[in-house]
Amino acid sequence: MEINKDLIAASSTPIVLAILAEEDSYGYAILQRVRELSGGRMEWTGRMLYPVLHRLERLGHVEARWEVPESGRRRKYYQITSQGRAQLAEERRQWQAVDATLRGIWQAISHSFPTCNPAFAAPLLQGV
Amino acid sequence: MVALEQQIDQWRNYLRRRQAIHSVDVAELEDHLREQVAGLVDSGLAPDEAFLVAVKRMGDLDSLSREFAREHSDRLWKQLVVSPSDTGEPQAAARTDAIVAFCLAVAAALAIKAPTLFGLRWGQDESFYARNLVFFVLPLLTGYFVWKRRLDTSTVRWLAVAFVAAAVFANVYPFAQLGSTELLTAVHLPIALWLVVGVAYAGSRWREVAGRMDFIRFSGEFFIYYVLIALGGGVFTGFMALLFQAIGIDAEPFFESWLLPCGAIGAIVVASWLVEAKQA
Repeated sequence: MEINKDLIAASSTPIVLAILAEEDSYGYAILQRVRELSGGRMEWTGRMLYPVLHRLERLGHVEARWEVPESGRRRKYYQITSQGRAQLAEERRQWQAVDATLRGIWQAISHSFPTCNPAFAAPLLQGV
Repeated sequence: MVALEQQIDQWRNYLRRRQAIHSVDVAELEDHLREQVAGLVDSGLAPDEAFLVAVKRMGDLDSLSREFAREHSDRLWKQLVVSPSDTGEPQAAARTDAIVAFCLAVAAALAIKAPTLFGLRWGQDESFYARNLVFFVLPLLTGYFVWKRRLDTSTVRWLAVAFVAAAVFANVYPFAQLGSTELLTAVHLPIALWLVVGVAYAGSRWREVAGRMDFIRFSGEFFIYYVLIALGGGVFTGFMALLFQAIGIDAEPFFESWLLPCGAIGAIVVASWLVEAKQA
């Protein structure tokens, strides 16, 4: 499923912050986690992720450090800050509001058009 | 595998030519690319195929470079790469900032002359001025950062406590006239209070390493600006003095008791503002 650019951009901050709230991570692992969480429906590119990470770092929501893992290659790890956690909580409130609004309207639509194919409505509900 | 290394070398060189992408960023992206390639090779692709797929998945490097330029606009000439559409509001903010800084500089200049009203003459009561010089400007400078960083009242309260405690100490402690203790205080008080300014400067980030490092950078740049202003001011004052001498007016008392103290103290605020304005 193709998710449009605006939606990807808007959701990138909460997703990255939430993944870092689980544990410290680095670019590639974050992309893997996004794919895993979305069941393969969201494919982020490095081109999209790194500017987001660097922006969050500049804003003080995350902190970066370099580490040398066993593979011997330097790797940049990101860690969420307390400010980042606060931002995540705020993003979460906003997304829940959007989510609730959409759920309301999806339900209203499925009530007023009972003939609507439930197989079509179901993935939409899951998607939000 | 040799071919793969060559390809990655080429890719890295291509990336390095982008001004907006620094070598640490290149290292980060290269780590990503290698990880991606390794993952694809594990799933059965030949190294050269894996490289192509990995590069493709990284996304368009031109737009990556553009995004980085936007994100790290301090790294290059902003106007050349960032579209002018998103610089409308900051201009108004920059103007307010300049006005506030200028007012504070004038306030500091007036403050340094205020003790004259109570009979403490500049150039005569050295020990009073040596101990109190910083109190005429650093609280104002702190106020500037409090305003700029929109600090909460509890932080402001602690900053105020620090200044009041220092001021009380500097003026209540029974110093011997121009003794060592007094000298020690006069030298170290500015340094201690500069750290208080640092807390205000870093705002909510003073507990983080990045915030403190920013303050160190700020201090360095501040010093450079201050020295430049002092040199410029010195040369200018020298010319003025010569001119007045030529027409037979003795301007030295004015320079000594007004221009020098007011200029030197006001320049502290101005230099701080310049550093801030450069970074904005």
